[in-house]
Amino acid sequence: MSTNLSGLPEVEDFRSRLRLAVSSLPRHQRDQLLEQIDAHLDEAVSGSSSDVEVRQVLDQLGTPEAIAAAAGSPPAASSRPPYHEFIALVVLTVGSILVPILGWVVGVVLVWTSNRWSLAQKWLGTLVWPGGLGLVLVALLSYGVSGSQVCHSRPLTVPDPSAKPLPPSCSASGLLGWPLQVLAILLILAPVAVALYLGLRIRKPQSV
Amino acid sequence: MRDVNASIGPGFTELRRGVVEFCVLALLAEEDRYGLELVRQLSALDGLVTSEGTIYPLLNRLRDAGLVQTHWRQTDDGRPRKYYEVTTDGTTALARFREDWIRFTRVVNRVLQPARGPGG
Repeated sequence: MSTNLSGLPEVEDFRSRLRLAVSSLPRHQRDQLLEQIDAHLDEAVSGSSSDVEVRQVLDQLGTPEAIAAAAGSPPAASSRPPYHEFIALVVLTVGSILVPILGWVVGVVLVWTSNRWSLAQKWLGTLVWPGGLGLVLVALLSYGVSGSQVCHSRPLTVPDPSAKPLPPSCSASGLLGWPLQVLAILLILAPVAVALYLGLRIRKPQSV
Repeated sequence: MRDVNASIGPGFTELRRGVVEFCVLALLAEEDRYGLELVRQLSALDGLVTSEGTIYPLLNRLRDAGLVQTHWRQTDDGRPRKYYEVTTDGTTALARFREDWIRFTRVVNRVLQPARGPGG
């Protein structure tokens, strides 16, 4: 369509800016508009047009961004707030505590249906941790109750009958030994950190 | 091109936007026109459009609404050219707007020019 115009850098620059500006429009609208502007430029500019004439044609057309805005393409700066992503992160962390497993599954689905994270970021959100914060807490609590709290009762044969019975002694201080406590904190903090990271890395919507 | 928005407030921008599409219909009701031809005629009317490029999205909206349709014609040197024409629905919409507009502007003019007195 635009055979006679290739080689005019200003026109090509205008076209590429327009293509970028209309990229969020539905395909049908976008193609129609690009075709019309191409036809307009083809008619208005010829190989013999002077630089001044070319510039005038482009000035009168308006900026590519203004044309895109008139077609309903939202300017990049004021795109929709990331509600979807915000909900995804809340469900992934808080939701997985309130509704273990299922809450996490819903969060993961929301993460993967977003168009504002990269593939790697989506995997990160999915793999730290499978089951979500809820499952980590459930696992830690059940381990804390049954596993590490190893308590020994004192032998029943007490040498001094007048002595009071001693309380059972527990091998671990508190619920968990310190290496396990550090591990537990890391397990809990990792998904929170990932959620914060993903929250900060929400980008402009990408066409998938 | 003169920046219309700079001299007149945003309220007028809204008003103008609503009116321009009927001016497009009116020009196309005279005769079928191709893009550049129509756009140049509109932009020659002082203050009606801010930039020529924004007329194309407007044309597409009119077409989606069924008020305008397009067809291809050959130019003298054999190139295809897309022409815009008014549909029957477009003609009806234009006629209705024309009546409303004339009544509307008459009232507004009367309010804006109170000094002239009744009938003025």
